[in-house]
Amino acid sequence: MSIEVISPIDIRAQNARRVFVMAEERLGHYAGFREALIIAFGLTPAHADGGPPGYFRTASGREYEVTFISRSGYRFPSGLEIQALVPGFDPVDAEAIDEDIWRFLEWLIPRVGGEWTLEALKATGKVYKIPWA
Amino acid sequence: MTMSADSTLAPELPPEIRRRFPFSSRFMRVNGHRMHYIDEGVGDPVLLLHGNPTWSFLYRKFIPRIVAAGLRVIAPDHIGFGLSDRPAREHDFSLENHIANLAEFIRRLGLQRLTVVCQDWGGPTGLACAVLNPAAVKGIVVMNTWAWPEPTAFHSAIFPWRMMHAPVVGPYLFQRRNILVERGLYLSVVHRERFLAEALPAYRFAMPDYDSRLLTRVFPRLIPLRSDDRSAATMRWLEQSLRDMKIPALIVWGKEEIVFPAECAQRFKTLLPHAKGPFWVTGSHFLQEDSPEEICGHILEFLRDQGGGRRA
Repeated sequence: MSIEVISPIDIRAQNARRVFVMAEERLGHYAGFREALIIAFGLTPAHADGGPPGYFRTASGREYEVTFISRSGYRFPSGLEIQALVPGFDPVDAEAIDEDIWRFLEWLIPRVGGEWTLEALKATGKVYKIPWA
Repeated sequence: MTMSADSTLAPELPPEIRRRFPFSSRFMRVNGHRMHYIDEGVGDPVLLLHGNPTWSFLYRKFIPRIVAAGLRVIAPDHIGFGLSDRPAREHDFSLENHIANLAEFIRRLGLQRLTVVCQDWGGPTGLACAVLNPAAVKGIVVMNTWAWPEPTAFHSAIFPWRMMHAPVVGPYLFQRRNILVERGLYLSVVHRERFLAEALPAYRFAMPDYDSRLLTRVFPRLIPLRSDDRSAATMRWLEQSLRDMKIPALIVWGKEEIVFPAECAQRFKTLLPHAKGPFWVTGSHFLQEDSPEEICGHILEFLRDQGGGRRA
């Protein structure tokens, strides 16, 4: 499995700093994405009120924190932020992060299911020259 | 010329971009945002409106031709594009806010006898402004755009359009990978080598980092797919209002356009039966890059018929 959802106690990165990767403010823009993330990260209503973030590790061994956002008027989670857990003062490898996030998308899209297929994601990535598609 | 603008020095465009875009940059604060625009020439004003992910640079070959015909050219950058401000939050953006920004821009410049030239998102925003103040508008020119709530086949399809801006996928492809500038533009012009040499650096310059690219993924999400989507009510109002509007109109369309295919040009003709055209020019979605001379010829002939501009 290219993506492994992990708990806080399983985080290997020591003395990690959080480096912003990207934010999604409208998880509900298309149906299915929010629900897929709820299941994958085991989110409950308690997570909207000070619960812990989610974490995942990629095949590369790099780890990421997923902060789920609650917004009045929208179902939880309404959005998310992904932060890379970068050890110490190590430099950020943006290209390596981009490969990891592509793998995260490849993991996520089949979980959304229905018309959202891995084939469509890969085809889109190929058209737009994503190196890992 | 009525002016209520903050004119400042042009930003430091790289010399190779400035050479192709040798116009004075102006700025106006509109609804709290700093909007960049070009204002050249004297005469009846012609408003050139771009879409996603371009900016007024798209009209660099139009501006001198229209000015030389004895007209005034105004080309703004929508908020979130070009040299205009980049608000940081997706929830700040709506079709209604974009229309309001453009309407305020037009009002503050005091534009009268205006011709609105629009493509892509310049369509819903510019046409809405014409509907809001028809007495100030003497003509509209529509190119590769739409003004109704129903999506095209391209916008309805998962591959590639809806996948591109899907939740979580969108921020990655549009903002981290800048696909619309780095690849989408290239795929949406006919003369690709010329585009790479002349234009891509300017579009790349305007979208240098993650934050600057927010609107490239927000605009796609504002295209209604269902009748209850946000923007749908405004698009219904726009279509109905255009149906009742008798302002002279011109339709120019790209022969190679796939985003808004030929049926969209025909739908405009049905909506505006008095319109001239459609005139078909070599051009994919960004037809301004492909056929600027030919399109300007159609626009200037149309304007001369409306009593504006000099005969060449």
